[in-house]
Amino acid sequence: MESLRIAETQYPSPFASGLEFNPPVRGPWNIVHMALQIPEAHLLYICARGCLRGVLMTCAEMGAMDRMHWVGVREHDLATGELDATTLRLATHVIAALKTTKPPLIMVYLSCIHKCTQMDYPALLEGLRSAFPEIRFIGCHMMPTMRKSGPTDEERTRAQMYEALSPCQPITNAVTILGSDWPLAKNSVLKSALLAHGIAIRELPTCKSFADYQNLAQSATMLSFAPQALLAATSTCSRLGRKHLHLPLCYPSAAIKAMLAKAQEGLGIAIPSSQAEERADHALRNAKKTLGDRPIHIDYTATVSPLSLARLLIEYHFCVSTLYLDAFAPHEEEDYAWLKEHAPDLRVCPTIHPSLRLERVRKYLNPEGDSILAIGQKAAYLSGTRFFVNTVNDMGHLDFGAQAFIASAMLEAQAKPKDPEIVLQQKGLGLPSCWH
Amino acid sequence: MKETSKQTTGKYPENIMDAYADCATYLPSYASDTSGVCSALYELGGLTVVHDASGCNSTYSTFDEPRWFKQESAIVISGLTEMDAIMGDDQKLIDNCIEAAHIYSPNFLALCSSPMPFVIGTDLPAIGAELEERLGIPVLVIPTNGIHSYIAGCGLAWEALLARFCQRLPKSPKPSINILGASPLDIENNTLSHLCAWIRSIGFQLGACLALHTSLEDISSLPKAHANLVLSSSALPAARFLTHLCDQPSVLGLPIGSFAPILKERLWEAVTTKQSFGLTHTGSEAPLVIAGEAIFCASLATALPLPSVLYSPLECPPTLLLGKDSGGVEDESKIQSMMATASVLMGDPFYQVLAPEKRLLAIPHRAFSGRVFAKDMWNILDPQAFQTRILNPLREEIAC
Repeated sequence: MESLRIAETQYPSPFASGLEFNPPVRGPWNIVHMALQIPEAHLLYICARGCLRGVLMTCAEMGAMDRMHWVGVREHDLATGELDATTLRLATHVIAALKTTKPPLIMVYLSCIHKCTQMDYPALLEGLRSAFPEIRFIGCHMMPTMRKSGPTDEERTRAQMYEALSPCQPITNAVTILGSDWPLAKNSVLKSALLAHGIAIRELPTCKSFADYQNLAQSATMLSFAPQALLAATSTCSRLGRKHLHLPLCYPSAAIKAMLAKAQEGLGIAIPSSQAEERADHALRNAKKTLGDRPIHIDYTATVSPLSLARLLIEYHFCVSTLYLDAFAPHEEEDYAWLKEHAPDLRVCPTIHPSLRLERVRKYLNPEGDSILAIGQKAAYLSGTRFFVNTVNDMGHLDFGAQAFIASAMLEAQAKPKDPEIVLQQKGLGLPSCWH
Repeated sequence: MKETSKQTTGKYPENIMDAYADCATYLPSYASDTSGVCSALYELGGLTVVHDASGCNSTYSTFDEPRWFKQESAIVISGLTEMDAIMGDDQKLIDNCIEAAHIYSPNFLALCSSPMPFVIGTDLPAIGAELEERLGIPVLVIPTNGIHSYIAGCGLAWEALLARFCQRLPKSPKPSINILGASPLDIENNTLSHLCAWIRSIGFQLGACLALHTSLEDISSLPKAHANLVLSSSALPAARFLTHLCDQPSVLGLPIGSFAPILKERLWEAVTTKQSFGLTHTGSEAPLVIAGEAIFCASLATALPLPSVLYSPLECPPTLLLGKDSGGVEDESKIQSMMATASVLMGDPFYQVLAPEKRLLAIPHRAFSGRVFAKDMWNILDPQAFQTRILNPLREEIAC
């Protein structure tokens, strides 16, 4: 598959859809990784074996099978119309069979075929609530047929993860961050300002108990950063009656300053950033000196804003040569236009086109990509380099802290090669794993 | 598009109506039929297309397929969307398959289905017929639906493959044995190498292997052999096909421990008399529970000094597991009740969770635990390893 110059691409879909190959890059989180962040919560998946296997093995590799239960779909039940009754009976059975204390929350996932066969989902949840009144049941969806049209399973899960928060009196000395997989990084300007003003930060990745999780509901103001968190943030804030502040995750300094200004106004606190900006600027200039004109490839799993990151690095004269993505995200339209004008020769390469399967295996057998420095696992795999920044979804980095992080991570990646076969195949970067 | 016969599914007995079948509180589920198809055809130079939205390929290539990172293959999904499912845009699938076939230049194209196309009634045979006409290569339509296990998927894929690529051939001059049912879901490389060496050591030439370390040309030569050794229930449809095609007898089993000499005798008799040898195990209330694929479990049980009861949640012939044995039903409560009276369990380490206080002799099975215990896999055909890991601990238990 030939890559395209960004100048030749169409927004938002640069490539025609077709058959899809699956690169062996396993770091990005899926809906199981996300949902298991709720302490003490369990998951119940109801779907066919082909769909079950992936979520069950994801959980198994995390060593969390004691929190995962399942009910399969049987041909007989589909054919006879007994799907609803059988599902409730089996779901009740697997929960009743729990040997330990019943969990406070079970997220119940149905799949595409339940939607297609018009299963009565509210009746299923009602039946479970009636059988187990001590457990909260949240209805969730695993519907990959909606992957391209949205809302995606990831967006839905992020939203559904907060549905068990109970309404309560708001407090003003804390903010809650919604929809983030990682704790807000320590070097974030925003984090420093909040803590300096005595405002506590509550976020799911740092919750240790279900009570901690419930405390997320208390904050009068709730923040979101990634576009994938917007559905979670708007639905949760609307339901709980909280103020929502969306601070878009971005990389160029001007955009960061605009974001911090919005935060300053919304939170009513001063957010000084000049020192952090200077530190980030110094780190980026230093990285540029070391990396020189080494080609840099970036993929969409490294950051929710890959075009924004490319723009920052190009502004600092890094040699960003290739972006790996299958579509341009709506929130990056402005950066897309900027790149089209200022870096028209930047190559855009898909990540799932069938031809990449053969190209990549051949590259593995005859390594040729080590001249490249990759940011993100897909960029590493598809370029064939062993020199890469091993990151997914920004890993909690924000504002000038994110700039500083990427500068130091590039230097670290440049200094020492990694073994792609081991590093890239670990499922759920940063989470417990049985892989090596 | 051409009209063809209705899509068929469910070639395996529907004996899953037990009270709590197909659900679990603690155990994972076995690999699915679509993974079975992909695994079965991996090395044969075909293009395998799973008609699926997303997930089938990543699940398979992450957990069920150890060859994915290094070894070339052409396995893709169709990327079915909500709109495709509602509007039934089969032309898109046909066009995309043709485009991919031009990229890969495959020996054949295999089409199989995930749950959603099954529910909406996608006419894969018609799509396959049109693709075959337009591409001029064999198109195998494999009627999976994502509901059954890899046993069904491998079985259907190999049967379809043999039906297109095998014909009656003169037998090889020296007695030779095919291996049927070799997929990484059931057997590791070391074990397969050991098995090949064992076949040679008992005086046979090695025929073809279905389907590890092999090629489409090798598969076409399957009818040349004098008999088949069937390692897994997944290969039973292929074995039946070869019997019908060219009177090729089959012998079921793995040469584990003291079962090896018995298997050797059966293979020689099969070659001499063209008689097939099945495998039967009759379970009783026993101190030993063996869990896993049925032919593997029955072979292992035959090699042990203690009576045992077998639990095989995967599709298997109704004549294989009898008495108190349980076959064909994935039922956590069933194996729990079996283990209540037993003192030792043999099988994948995941089963330990059902009876933490009982002794488990671990035999990791990729089709069940994926990569979780991959580092601990071992070659059960190696007499020394079998002695150390199975027989000696069993003797300790008996002594207790």
